[in-house]
Amino acid sequence: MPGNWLQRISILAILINVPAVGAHFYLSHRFYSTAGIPVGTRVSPITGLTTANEKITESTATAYPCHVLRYTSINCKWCRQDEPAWQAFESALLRRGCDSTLLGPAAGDLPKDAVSTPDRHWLAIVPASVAREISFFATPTTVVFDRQWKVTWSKMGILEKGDTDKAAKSVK
Amino acid sequence: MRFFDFMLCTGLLFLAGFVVRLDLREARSVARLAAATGNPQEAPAALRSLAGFDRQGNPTDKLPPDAKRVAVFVIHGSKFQSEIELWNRARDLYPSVEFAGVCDDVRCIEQVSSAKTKVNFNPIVMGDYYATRWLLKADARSHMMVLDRGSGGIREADTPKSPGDLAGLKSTLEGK
Repeated sequence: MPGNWLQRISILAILINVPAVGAHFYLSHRFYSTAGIPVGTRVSPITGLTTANEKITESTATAYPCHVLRYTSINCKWCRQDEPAWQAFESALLRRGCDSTLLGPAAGDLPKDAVSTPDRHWLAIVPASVAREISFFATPTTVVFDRQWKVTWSKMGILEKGDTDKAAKSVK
Repeated sequence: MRFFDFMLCTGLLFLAGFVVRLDLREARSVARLAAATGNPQEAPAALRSLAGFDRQGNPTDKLPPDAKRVAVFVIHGSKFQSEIELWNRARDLYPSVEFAGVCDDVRCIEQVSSAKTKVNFNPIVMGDYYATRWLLKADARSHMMVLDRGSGGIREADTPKSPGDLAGLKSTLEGK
């Protein structure tokens, strides 16, 4: 009888293990395939045309020692909710000498009155090379690059406490 | 022997508990991510803002407004000449349809921007990020996008690879 009992428990444990391991692989894949851009990924400088039709060339895009890229939309409620945290994040990175680029899924996702400055660009349209190299899944996504456009920090979703410090340290 | 069975059973139970706990943690992470982001994008989109040229070579920032259908495809810099010839021929064959080709690299952009390259369609050098990304993904599946201005619909269709494939586009492009 005790042998029988052990056998049943063991079969139950195996029956739990098999789907649980399957679920683990599925969830891990789903999480990592959507969790921002991996650190260390190198991309070409982000070029394009701003909302005011100013051209961001490769030389403009490489003029700063680090770069922040924010994928955002005026139609995304999480982006609006994240705005104070994003502003603090962006200010901290600009103080470190980075430039900042805001890119929308479409030009219509950016504010019509957006004004670009030398260190802050509202990028309305981009060449296909940018769309091929940078894979954004959802807004908001924030990515920090070093001078050579290598990803040093990235986050999909709203910014959380401590993110600014981590991102700033990543470009030291 | 019974001790060994007991230990094996306990080990399996612990392993099951550990993996289930891991699953719950990952499920929470995925749910948190889904809840804190907007528009997870799974649908095709038309290029609305762009920079390119019209068929006369004048700079333009929109797709041709008059045509009922617009075929949007990728021009590959590596096969520039043969693709230009193919799409020029497509436009001759389907004059009621507009064609817009999005350059995939700098080589293509330089060539369509030079006055020497005569094209019979609308070359595009920049566009909306998401629509361009969708087009590139479609191109990887050997597809182009066809916009139907009447219905506002957008769908994928097979990209012709050679002049011989162009006749087969009639129903796709003209809806006949």
